[in-house]
Amino acid sequence: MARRKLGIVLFSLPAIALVSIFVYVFVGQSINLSFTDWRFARPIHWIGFDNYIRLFTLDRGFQTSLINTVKLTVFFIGLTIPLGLGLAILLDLGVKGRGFFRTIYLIPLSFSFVVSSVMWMWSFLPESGTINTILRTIGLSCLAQPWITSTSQSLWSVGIVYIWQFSGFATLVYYTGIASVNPELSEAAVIDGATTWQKYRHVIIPQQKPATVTILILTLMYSLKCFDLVWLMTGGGPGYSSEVLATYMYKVTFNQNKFGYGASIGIVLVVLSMGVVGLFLHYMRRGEHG
Amino acid sequence: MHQRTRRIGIFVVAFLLCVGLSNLVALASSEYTDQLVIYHWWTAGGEKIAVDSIFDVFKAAYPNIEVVENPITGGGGGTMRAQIKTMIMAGNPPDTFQVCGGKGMLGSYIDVLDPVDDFWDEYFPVPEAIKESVTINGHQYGIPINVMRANMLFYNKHIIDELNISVPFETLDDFYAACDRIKAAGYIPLAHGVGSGAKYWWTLMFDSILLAVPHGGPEYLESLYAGTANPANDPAIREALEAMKTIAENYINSDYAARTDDMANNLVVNGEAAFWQSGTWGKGFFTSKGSVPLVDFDAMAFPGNTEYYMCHSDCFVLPKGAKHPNAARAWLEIFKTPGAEIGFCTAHGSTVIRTDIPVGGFDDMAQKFIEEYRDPNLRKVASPWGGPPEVYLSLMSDALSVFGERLNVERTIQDYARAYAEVFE
Repeated sequence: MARRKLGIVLFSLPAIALVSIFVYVFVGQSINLSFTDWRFARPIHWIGFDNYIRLFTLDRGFQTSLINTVKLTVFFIGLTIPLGLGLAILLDLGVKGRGFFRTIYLIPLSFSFVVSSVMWMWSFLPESGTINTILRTIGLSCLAQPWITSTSQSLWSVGIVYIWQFSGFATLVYYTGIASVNPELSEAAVIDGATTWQKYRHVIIPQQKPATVTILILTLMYSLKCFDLVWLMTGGGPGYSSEVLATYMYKVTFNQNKFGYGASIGIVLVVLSMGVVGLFLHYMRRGEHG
Repeated sequence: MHQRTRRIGIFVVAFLLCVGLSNLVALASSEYTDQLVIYHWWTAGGEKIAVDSIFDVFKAAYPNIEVVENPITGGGGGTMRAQIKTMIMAGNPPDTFQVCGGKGMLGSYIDVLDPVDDFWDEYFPVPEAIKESVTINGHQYGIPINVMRANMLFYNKHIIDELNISVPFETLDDFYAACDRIKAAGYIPLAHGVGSGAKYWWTLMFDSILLAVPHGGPEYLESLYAGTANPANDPAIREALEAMKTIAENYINSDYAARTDDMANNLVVNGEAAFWQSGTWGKGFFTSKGSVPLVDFDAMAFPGNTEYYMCHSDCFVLPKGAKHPNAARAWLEIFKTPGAEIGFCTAHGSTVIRTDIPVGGFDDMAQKFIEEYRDPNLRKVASPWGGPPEVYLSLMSDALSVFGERLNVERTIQDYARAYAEVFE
């Protein structure tokens, strides 16, 4: 037994060492950096909480990107989860060609963000883009929008692409979750006179908590650290209209050479991610025990 | 079972030993005695051919130096610079890397670069303004291979000929009048594209306009890049914003924010738009799509810029603490030779920086660009890629891209002044 334990420890050691060095040591180093005024090739000075004070009191770019990140997160998750659940229920209802639809829903997830962004940029072109062209062709010119070219719509346009890319994943997770519900429960509900809607509403959906947690945590992670699509589609613009924390951190750090300040934005991002995920896990655990 | 596991183990160890041994043999038999670790952002078709042509010259001259090339595309060199900074801060700088020549840009790196004065002490025939652009505190920090004029306006020759518009435009008003005629004929006057985060095209337009407005001009632009201007109160900024508002409101394609620069160029190539602002490097955008210089398209100075040559060069530099300084110096030596320049600039489409290279071997448009560069009457002024500190382009472009959307002059003056203060804080 002792030998087995020793084996487990020995085999775990490399992974623990790597994670410790490449995650926790570097996070620690970033925390340390965030309390300095380090600019590229200049001497470093310890400045306490100055970076954080500036972030929350003076830096309009940071405040806008923080608000945008929250907006994008709420929009992305708020639509991906119901959409994924809805599509999973449709599949579960026994639509013809289920396998085909399942594949279709999952295809966007297999695209790289670069491919998606280029494809959607073309679709969002106000004059010749696919979306506005279709709208004009079917007589709905009034619905044609400036999309990513507008300060009021660029963030939501990027959000649409995130939803498109991830709703198939949510569908698959929910579909698996629905399939794993004990069929006896559904049958019992039907025998008791439950309609299809009531069966889903009172029997199946309440049992999708684990699936929801999985989707929620993953989509939260993606939306908080989202960079690729925003960077490629809008570069955070026009102006700061679609700037999110990750793109702002990159610009401040590498375009403006403020490495200490950039680290403080990174730490805000880490705290935000850990806080949100921690809160949610706490809530879920409480649900399990209560 | 144990025996099988042991056999597999012996096989794996033997395999690894063989691999290690073969690497050792390869290393021992290598013809290389030195190495050049080099970073640049030339990855597109013509650029790649261009840089490969210098590598060929270099390898022929220094067969014992192994070239470890690291091309990193994106963001007009911004992505590569991000990589370089992390390498320098980690104490592992490359042997040499590409940077836009200009006091501001080089000044952003001066603390981590070694001067290259001795290269300039040798014969290197370039205009004094070019040498001055890489000189900081009396020392030179870069060796340029080419020069690019940034304040150019390319145009679809068929449209301009069809409408009988006379070019170039001495003033912005002449340009507006031509744009009105082009618009009335059903064309987009000016193709513009700042999509995929390329907001810096706004800055190029704005800084070119600054050269053309009454209170602007080269001295004002130089003061702006040096950090001595006062944008909140300078009339030139207001005049330039008013001019940019006129252009953005009336003459550019409405989908500019979704179009990349290349997609904007397509509008001119396809005959949908008349003008497109770019630097001399824009020629390659046309020729790569089959357009013929001086037949399908031509180029002139940006309106009101006919007397000014706004430019930057592509330089290579010597980082402090590089592992192979001799190889880097060999590279710089090759870099300034006529042979390397001619091969590079012919493929790249940029202008040779040495003034002693005969123009005969270049096409007509390239010859025109070379003549403009060598014209002593054209006042040379740095472009936003080289003249101001590195952060200028990023911060000012953010402020101007909001203006492009809202066209609010008063608010942009405040945003601009705030961004400017941040650049020079």
